[in-house]
Amino acid sequence: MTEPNTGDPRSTADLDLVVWRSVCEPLVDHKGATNELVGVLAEKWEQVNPTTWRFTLKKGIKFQDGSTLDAQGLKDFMDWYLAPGGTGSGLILSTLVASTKVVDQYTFDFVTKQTNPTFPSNLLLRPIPSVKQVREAPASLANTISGAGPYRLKEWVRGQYITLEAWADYQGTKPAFSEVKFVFRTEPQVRASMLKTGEADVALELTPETAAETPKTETYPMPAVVQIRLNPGHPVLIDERARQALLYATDRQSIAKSIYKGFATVPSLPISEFASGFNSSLQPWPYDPAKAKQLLKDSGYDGTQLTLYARTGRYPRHLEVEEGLQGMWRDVGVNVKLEEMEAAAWTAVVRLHNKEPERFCKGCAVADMVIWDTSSELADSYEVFINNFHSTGANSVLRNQLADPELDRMIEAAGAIVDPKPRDEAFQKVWAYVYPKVYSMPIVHLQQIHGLGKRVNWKARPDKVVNAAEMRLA
Amino acid sequence: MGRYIARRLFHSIFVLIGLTIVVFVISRIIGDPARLMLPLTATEQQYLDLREALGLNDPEWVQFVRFAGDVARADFGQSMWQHVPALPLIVERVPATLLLAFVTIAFAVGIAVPLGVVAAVRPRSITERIITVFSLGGVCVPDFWLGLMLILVLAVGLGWFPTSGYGSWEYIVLPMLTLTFRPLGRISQVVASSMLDELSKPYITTAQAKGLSERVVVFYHALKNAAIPIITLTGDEIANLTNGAVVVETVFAWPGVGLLFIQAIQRRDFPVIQAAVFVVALGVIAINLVVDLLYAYADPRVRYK
Repeated sequence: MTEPNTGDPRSTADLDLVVWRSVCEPLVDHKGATNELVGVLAEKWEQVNPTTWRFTLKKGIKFQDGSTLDAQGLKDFMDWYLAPGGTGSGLILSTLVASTKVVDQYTFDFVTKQTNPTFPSNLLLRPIPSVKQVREAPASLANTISGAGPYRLKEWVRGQYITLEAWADYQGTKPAFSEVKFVFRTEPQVRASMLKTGEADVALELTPETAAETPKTETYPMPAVVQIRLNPGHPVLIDERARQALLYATDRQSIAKSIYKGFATVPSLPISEFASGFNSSLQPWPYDPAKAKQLLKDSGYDGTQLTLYARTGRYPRHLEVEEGLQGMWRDVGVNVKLEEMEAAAWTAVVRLHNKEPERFCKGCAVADMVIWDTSSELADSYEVFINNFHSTGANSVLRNQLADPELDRMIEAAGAIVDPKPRDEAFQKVWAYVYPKVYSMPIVHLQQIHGLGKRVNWKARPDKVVNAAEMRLA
Repeated sequence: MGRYIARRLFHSIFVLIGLTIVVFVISRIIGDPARLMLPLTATEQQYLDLREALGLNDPEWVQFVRFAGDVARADFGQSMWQHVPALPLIVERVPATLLLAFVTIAFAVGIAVPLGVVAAVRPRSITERIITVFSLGGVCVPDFWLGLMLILVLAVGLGWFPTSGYGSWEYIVLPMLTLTFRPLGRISQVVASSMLDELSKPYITTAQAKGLSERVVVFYHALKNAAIPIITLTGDEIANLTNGAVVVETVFAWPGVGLLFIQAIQRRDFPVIQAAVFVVALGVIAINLVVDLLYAYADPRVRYK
């Protein structure tokens, strides 16, 4: 677990929600470990027309610096948060929001660029700091942050710790602990050791090995699924049978069992089974090397070398998985070169289709396969499809010559449906459509493992948010 | 001596300027911070906007002139990730790095010198062989593994020390022990070999013939004359540790320069990289100067003009 870089939400990645979510609160939140939304700063919300979402704020919301929140304050915050130049989660929200509007003192409109039935879920991971601080001293957010949450920042010694103290005037349920100290240890073995010695009460993100030595653990399926994005323009991967062959040749059950010690499952789709639109009728592809060999033969595979681009440290125990895949594919005669890269070089490969789109054509042999863990933090199929499979998606190689117009049409049609049930059914059909095409190979769905000490009870949430106020004394 | 120090300090300015230019050029070659700062789902236009906002679209020479002007005012700019000034970010990590470096070296030298001397005065004995195996083992053992083993045994098993962190004296013991083995091994080897050379020289026979005790001969006469390679190696080890003991800082969450430096490189945080190199270079220059001055103390034939 790494230390937050800053308290500035314009440049705060979702990981920083481990600390700042206890200090600042969002408009809406998940109800515990479910996908259901509940209001936090917002009292209610409704879609008043296809592109307008109206939020009513709770009255009397007070920040830790004594200021209050009303619709004008929320607008000032959003104008600042969504302005160009940010690098955090506001940047993604800004691609969805066309404008904001104050309706009355406590009522506020988001006007979206397109019909967006799931827009409120985009406000989940976006805690709001004191509007006074944003208006008067936004630069101070780099070092300090005031919110309306259960804890307030007491001390931040960079490189060492962050201490939060319970805020006496918090309007919600009072937290169980008067003070919470976050320390940052890169090594999971050290985090687990701190639990054993009693130096820590909660150790986040343990490995399967360290979890085995930890008496009390809290696990949940991670939002992301480890998967391989295939370039269907590549001379080998252009044939659907070759892509299917790679999946048949992959013994994913072994990976889940032997590498992740059972703290992982074999996914049928490149999205969490808890996401809206997940199609549970589709089964994980079986391990069948004989069928893989037959499909490779039918596709005319000639031994051409493929390349698997991987990022060092992107997901736990990545090297064992990638070398395992290499071996399994070698067993069916597929020659794959493994390129282990550090973050900057790997990101350049992942985004190559943006920089040099002309190289992604039918028969062009570039960036064959990218292994990564990517999915929907919002547990929504639309987000995954629009980013990874649509011809305009930032991470989609299915563009220009490689675009799948039928898939584009299905994604757009499903995304425009407002009612949850038909929308869910429509996305299930989209998953059924892409399932045999294997544009992305689901490899393994990991579980997040947190270790707990004797003093603490905590039901961890699948959205990765760590709110200290949700922890209780055992 | 004063003029020599002034001349060395003057030369150091050119070293710093050269280093600053090299680091500026290399950091621009190794990658693009804008890609790393944005989430993977950011659009290409957002990426281009961020490059513009960070000034990365300007020609390299424009960026360099801007950077050189700022550095001349001791302003390395703001960390791209942490949004706070880069130089204070590094400077506030220096005390932890120096503390760990000097405690480690003091401990290592305190053990390595007697071990090396014993090995030299008892050549080809079982004691000498044990010391050689111990010192070579110390050089070979990986920091990462040793650190975790020390945590498991001394912190978790015996509960003598905290597992990690920074604070009172207990916190420094495990990182110091982890770091000690390499300099201890290297220095004891050099002490043994230098002392063997000195002990075979005629002045030692003369001293022994004059009836001086073995302790005086070994520790006063031979050790002082064997000191120059020991000082050189100790200086080199201190310089290595002031660069930051990255692995140990990572395992023990020791808030030193090394960990911050590596994170800055991984994130292509140019201002922090440049400030870190500048601060570390200043430290290495200072250590080299002290080492050179110590030569004159150890060997009266050395004169600085």
